[in-house]
Amino acid sequence: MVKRLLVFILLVLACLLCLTTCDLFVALFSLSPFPGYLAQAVASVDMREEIERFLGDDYNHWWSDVFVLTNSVGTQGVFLVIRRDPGGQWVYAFNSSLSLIDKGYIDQNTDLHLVDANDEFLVGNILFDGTVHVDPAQPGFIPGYWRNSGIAAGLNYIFWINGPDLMYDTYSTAWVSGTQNQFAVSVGSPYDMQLRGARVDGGNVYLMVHGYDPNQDTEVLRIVETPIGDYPNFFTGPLFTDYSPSKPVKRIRGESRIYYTRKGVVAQSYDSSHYLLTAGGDRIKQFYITHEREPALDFDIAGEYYYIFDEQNFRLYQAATGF
Amino acid sequence: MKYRGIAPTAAVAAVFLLITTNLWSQEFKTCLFPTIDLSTTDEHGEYQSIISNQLRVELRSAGFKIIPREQWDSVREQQGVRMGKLYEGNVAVQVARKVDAEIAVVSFYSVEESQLVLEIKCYDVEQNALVSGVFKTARVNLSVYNVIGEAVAELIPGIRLIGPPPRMDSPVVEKIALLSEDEGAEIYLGNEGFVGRIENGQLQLPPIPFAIGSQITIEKRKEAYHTGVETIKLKEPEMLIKLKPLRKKAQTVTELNWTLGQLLGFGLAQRLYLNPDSFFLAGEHYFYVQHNFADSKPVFHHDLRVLVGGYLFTGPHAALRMNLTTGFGMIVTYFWLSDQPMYADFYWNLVNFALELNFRKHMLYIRSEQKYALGVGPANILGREWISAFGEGPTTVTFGVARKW
Repeated sequence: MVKRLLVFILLVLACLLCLTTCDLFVALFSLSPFPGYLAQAVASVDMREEIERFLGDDYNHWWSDVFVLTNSVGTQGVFLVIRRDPGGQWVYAFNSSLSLIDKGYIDQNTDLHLVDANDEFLVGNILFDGTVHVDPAQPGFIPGYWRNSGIAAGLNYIFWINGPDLMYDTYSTAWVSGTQNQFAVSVGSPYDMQLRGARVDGGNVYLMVHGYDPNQDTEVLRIVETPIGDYPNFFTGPLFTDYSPSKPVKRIRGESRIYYTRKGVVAQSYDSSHYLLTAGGDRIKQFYITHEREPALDFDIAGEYYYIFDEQNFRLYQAATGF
Repeated sequence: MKYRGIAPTAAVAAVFLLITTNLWSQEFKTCLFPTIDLSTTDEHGEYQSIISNQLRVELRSAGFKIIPREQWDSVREQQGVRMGKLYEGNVAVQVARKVDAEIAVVSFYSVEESQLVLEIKCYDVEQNALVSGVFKTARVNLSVYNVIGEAVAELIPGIRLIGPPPRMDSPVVEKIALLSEDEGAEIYLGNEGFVGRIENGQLQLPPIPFAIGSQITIEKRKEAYHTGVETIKLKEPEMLIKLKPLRKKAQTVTELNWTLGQLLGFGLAQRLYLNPDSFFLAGEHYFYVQHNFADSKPVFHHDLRVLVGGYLFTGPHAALRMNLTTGFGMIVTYFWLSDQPMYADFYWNLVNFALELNFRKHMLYIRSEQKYALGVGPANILGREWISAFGEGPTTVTFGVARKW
């Protein structure tokens, strides 16, 4: 009797083990009213004291963002930006295991974030050096709140899309004002598009463009791979003609950021889950991080971890992607 | 215009009065047989005359014409019927028919362990049918007299309301036997009242000429069980009817359940009925592990809640029942990962809507749940929002099995 029971239990366990490789089983059993990152967390840091001190009482609202940047020598910085309206923003810089390295304050709210031409981290208009400390030589104010993406390719480039055009400003390596030039390249779509992410990796710049596609009669995401070498010479455009974009990916939430990792592109779907996509737009897997629509979230370039800030509890989490 | 409807109303009332007055003034020729003492001892024989006399007085004062004993007693002797058998309906009706009685009244009682059980039955002689019956129990003390009075008083209206016998175009049912596993259950038959108890799993109904094709309503009563009512269509001259078992009144219920979005765990709940199978309080503890099966570390949740609820629309015998509950709860969360705080999310369980498949001892149910996190307390995860595994909308679905006690 006991033997039979043991065999039965072993069989049930074996079946369960097999089922954990089944996507539907995993999706069903992973469902939770609580954020998925809680079960993926490998470390967290409590920022309540710092943030409450900054926020005080006199503000209308506040919000946050997280950016993960890696420079050419592999130094990774995790940046938590806390913005207050009115009242500017603090940028907290952590290493990859969430030890707070440094922090900087600026009296404006901007979400610029890139590794610049000097291999330093520019986040929210505050420059951090290669050791993730605040650089004493700060750039002047770089205008353009929504110019949320930037790359460095000899010079510094800041991107955004304005109507049918991909706009980019160029700055000198030292971010000297007065060297700013603006260029426009047609995206190749007559409809409004939005640039939801840009990242440099392996000699290419990956642009995540989201907007209405008349052929699909819905909003779609397209991932465009552009060689970094083309940037100093400027595009001749249109973007979607010169560089073949990925196939259109539907059901992607337009207001959220879209993240490039070496294991795929991550985008939030309408049903709040996240998709892991190939650069060609094929879905690799679907997983759940949070139901929040615009979470303060970013992925490391390796696709090993993501970092997410819980505004409810002022806690920054490092979580394993499981990719 | 205000009094426009008064004339037809008055006319209807007048007709009704005429009919009832006519019935009231009918002088039924009644054969009142002596009350029979079925007790094992003669100790309480005095109740025979008390009951007989009270019946006689009441019947007379109600306008019934009592046939003198000398008339029916000689017939009884001619037929060789013992006096002690006159509590049996068939026997009494045969004697009463010989003296042209319209109504035969029999009564009997027994006293066991100071408990008096009294039964009075009244038969329509022409139809050989039970038209009225009363069953009473009482402790043997002064209250016996009140009970006798009540029994007689209850009997009379039933007799008065007999009208002309229904025309029987179709054959009648000759025999009805009820089978039931509810030993000792009292059986009541539509207008006939109490007709007997289930003994040794069965009850033979007294001969009542129901037409084949007609329906009878059987009511079953038993202590600690819900009263059951069944309507049976009489299809054959001899009917063997298997009655549905009665449902025991549940005092508590134990539940085991699974909720979508919390599948790596289970819930245990206990209901306490304030009113059996109707209105209840419930406490529930749902423990589940949150795990994503990929580089994941478990997070543990304990969902504790208190609910109050009740059933709508259908009774305890219904196969499908619906209930609504509401209450408050708290989800305690802690982590496998070290150095993490413990959280508590308090919520209002706004409403749960459950559909239950109701078996005798068990229930299977599906329940939609609307929980709203209140965002109170020093450390909570969900803030103020609907609690849902799907992100959009408030509903969570729970499947469960329950055992009644």
